[in-house]
Amino acid sequence: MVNSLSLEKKSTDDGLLNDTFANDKLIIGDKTFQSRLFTGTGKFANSELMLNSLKASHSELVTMALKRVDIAGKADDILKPLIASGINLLPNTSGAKNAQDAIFAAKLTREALGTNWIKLEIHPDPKYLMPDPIETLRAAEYLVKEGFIVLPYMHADPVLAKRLEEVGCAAVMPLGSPIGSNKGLASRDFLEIIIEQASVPVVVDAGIGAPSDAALAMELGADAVLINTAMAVSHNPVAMAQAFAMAVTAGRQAYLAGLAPKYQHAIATSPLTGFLD
Amino acid sequence: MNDKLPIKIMVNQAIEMNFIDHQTTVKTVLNELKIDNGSMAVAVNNDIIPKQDWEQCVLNDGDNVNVFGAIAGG
Repeated sequence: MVNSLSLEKKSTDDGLLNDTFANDKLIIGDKTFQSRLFTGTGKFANSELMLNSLKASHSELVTMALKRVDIAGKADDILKPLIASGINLLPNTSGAKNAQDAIFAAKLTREALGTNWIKLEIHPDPKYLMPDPIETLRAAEYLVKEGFIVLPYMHADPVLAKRLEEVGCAAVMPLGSPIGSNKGLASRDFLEIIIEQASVPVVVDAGIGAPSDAALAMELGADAVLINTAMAVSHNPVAMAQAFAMAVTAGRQAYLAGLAPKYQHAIATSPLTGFLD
Repeated sequence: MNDKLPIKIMVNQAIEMNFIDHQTTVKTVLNELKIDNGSMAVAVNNDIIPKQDWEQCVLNDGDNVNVFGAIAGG
């Protein structure tokens, strides 16, 4: 009797757990994602390694850039198999130094790739690649009105996040630290405020250098993370992609489960009564 | 201008192409260069030309044609 009761209870608990995770989907704009790991396509040594890494990551949204075709040289067709695979594309406006450039780039990518999704990034300074908040807000407002699904790359500025949300961005993408720096969540305290206040998904982008950084972002309640450099320049990008996938899943599950509170002092896990008393 | 003179088109700020045919279109330029991989965008003098208009868009002497394609990026 005791056994059957405890078994019944266990199965109910499992059911609750499974429901929580089965229903855990990320919705941005018109798309639903099972995976909360978004990936970039830059810096991979070759097309095959990139495809295998993206496959191992289970990513359902990949970023890419646009540039003038090199007419003299051989066309860069590293992306051809990826585009042909039908995966969701998130082209960026990298190279744009102001709102006007970014709007032009967004319209070109819509023409070239047939998607109205755009990762809006405007960084005039090549050393730190800090996103320009004023130009980003201007471009975001215009592009939303033009029917784009806008995901702006931004500094971890909670006020700007709300402003971008107000003009109709489908998500916000605050940085953890500078692009490609692998310094992790240097902006952690501000990411927490953004996550607390946001009514649109928060995707932590840039600077995530290790799976533990990704797990932390997810534990804090980020809706997704975007990883590129940390995966692409690893000695084994495929294995690293898998590691990131596990970290993102673990971090998300921990967030949904609810982290235990922190205390300054010890709270005993075993009875403190002297066993000889 | 004299119909017998070729028209000059600058492509991607890199190469100059000459065409005798004054009905040269965006599509002609892409065909000549063999660069269309299906994921391209074209702007003529900074106006984006939608794909369905490439065959109809006749170029003029001195036009700047820019062809863009997707590349890897984060």
